[in-house]
Amino acid sequence: MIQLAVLDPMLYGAARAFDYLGFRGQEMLDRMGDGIIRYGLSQGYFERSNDPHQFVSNIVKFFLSNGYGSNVRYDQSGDIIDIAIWNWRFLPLMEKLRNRSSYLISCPICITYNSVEKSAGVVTERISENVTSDGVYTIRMKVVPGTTNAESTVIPLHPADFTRTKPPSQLNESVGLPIFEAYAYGLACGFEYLGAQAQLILDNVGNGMLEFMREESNVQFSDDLEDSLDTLSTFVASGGLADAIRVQVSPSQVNVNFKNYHYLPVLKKLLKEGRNLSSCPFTLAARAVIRNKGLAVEDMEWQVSAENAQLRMTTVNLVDQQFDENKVSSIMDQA
Amino acid sequence: MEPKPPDKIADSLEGLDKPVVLTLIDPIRYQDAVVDLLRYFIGRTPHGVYVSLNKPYAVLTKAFDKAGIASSSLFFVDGITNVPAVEEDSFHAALGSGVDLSNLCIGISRAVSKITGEKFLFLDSLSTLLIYNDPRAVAKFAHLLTEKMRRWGTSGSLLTVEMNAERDVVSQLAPFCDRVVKI
Repeated sequence: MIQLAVLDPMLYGAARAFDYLGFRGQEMLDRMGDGIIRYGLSQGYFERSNDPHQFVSNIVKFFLSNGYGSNVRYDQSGDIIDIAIWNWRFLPLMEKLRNRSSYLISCPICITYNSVEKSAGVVTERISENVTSDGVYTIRMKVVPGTTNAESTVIPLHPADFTRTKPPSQLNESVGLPIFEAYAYGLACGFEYLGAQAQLILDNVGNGMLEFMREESNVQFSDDLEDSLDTLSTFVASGGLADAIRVQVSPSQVNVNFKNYHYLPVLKKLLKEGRNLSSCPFTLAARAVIRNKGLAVEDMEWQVSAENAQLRMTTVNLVDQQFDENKVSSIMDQA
Repeated sequence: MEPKPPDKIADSLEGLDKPVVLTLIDPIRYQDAVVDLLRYFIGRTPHGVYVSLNKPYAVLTKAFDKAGIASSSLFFVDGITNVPAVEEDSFHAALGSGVDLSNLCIGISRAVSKITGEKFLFLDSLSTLLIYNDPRAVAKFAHLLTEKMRRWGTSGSLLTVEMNAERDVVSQLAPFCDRVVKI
């Protein structure tokens, strides 16, 4: 199990990373859905079905059995679809995002659903939402001809009113590790079509994570890099990412030891597939902490064993970086 | 009606002889945008230098060939593939991943000098440089490059993917380019 105190910052960070795109940011988030599906299938967490409804049903069962909600009801009548979700873990996050005027949905069930919907060529508009006082979320959607990525496919015509119903914090609650693994894999793969610059997106996710941890879990990061990373490691380890995370900082390196590391299945799969981006919540947030101290991570090198992992991050001080235009210019002229 | 991206590029750069362009790319359509822009430059100038900091040479050539762009008309400067030392052949030079700004400049300069006659330069992308470098250093680098492009008589584009306002260099670079195109 892993606490929502660790998973929710990732979801929040992902949504915040695409805030600047407005409703179009949903298309970026939905790109993670394919990765979640690939991971779930590869681990046998759910089965593929050629029938999109059955496939979605298999996926939803997986999320519910791992504690991301207690029940989902799906009704379709003609072109109208009604969905109700009980004890939906995303609800407090949705409220937080709505308070920032963000309608992006980074819920793992939703982005996976969107991914299946898109691959089946189905487009739905969001008509209305409602949240009851006991926390049941309902949404009415309409199947429409046309293309996705319109405002109406992301922002409901009549959004839920959270002013009367504030969902209680669930950060101390836990969900099954398979949800975390699938989400983390989707995050690492979703933007790789951008090549190396996808790291900027993950760095933005890390910044959003820090914001969430400060605001919702009251995590205080000091001015000292090692202290901040210690605070972060203690926080994510106590939330279930690993049994222990030990950090050592030197002027040009940050070394991290993870004991009984629950990101390991994802990391091993990514490394085996030759993927270089890491979506471990500690490393995402740690890179943001490091950057905020005026350093950049140049290289990340992993060593993995059966249950543990070691990470060496090579850092460079941005303040010390020099680029002498005149000197380089004259060398270029001779090249 | 909003013009299609290839038309938008042509419209924006109409009347410019050897445009030096700063291109802001929508991350949602990054791949298509790169192909559209490259097609525009190849249509005007048959040979060019493609500086890739995002995807390895081997991956790019395959993708371009698939998109109907003759990668043989390009010389690639690869700043992403891990190589123990600088590698070079007639079609590409691999500088190694995380190449520093000074060596990147020198690598670009060498690549440009390999092509005789008219050529263009394509840098993909400034955004990647912002991962490992201070934004001020990246701005200086880009400024120097645009200056050299004018001296070499080379048209071309510096790409940046819109994704992080804090590390944005667009406002600093816009005055040194003929146009800022958003696609």
